[in-house]
Amino acid sequence: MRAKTPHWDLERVKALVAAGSFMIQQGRAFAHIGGTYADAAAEMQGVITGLTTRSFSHTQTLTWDIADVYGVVFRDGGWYLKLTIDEEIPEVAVISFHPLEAPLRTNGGEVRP
Amino acid sequence: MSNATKRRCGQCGERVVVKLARPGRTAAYRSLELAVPASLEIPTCENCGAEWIDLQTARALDEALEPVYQEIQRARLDRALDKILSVEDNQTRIERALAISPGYLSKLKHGKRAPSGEIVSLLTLVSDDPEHALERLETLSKRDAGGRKRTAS
Repeated sequence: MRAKTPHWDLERVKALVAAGSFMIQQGRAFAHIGGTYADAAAEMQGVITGLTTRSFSHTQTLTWDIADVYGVVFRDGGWYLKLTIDEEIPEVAVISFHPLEAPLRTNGGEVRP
Repeated sequence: MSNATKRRCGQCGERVVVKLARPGRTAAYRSLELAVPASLEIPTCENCGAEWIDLQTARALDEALEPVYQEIQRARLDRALDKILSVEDNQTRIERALAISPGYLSKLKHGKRAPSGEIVSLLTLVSDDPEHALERLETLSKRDAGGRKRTAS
């Protein structure tokens, strides 16, 4: 089976995040990471800059935009990551980052909660 | 600020995310839910209310909330220690029951160590009924040590 390709170029996503051009949703992402805000932001930065297309699951068409969904292993468990790019700023918006509630199929295989 | 220069909300899609300072907000910070200073600006969607944290906001939140967190934890620790030590003044017994290093309680008491969230929670729990909590911990430790001995023989 052919690997799926994210809508947002992963290297562009990683470059923006590495440069600090990103924002994270408070309730659906930050709240799940815990700790201090700076530590959580650094952890989020680490997760995203460490992404590969093997972690890519699927692209979601939202009412207003398109978001990419990844399944990553974080703190010994599977986590759901949904992000998009706002090209006008430009910056990455992390819409969701939380522990998986159900297995998620990615290019690299199934990521479990 | 015109909508063209505003950030777009990844939640509802409206380009109406603005830095907003207002009273009545709270934020989960470490193990506590703390009040956010009314003057602190957080990028907030004017349409759906979603809050968006960037690096600058993360640093501002930490600077505002860390001292409050430490103050609350210090007060909780002092209250818990006062209550426990009023019932049991043998610190060695308490440290052994809680499986913490000898002398650690004294260091906490005199502010020579910053308490972790876990130790403050544990001491708060024990302080609710110190004698029973310590007895229970000692009983469980003896039981588990006994079980280990049987397994080894």
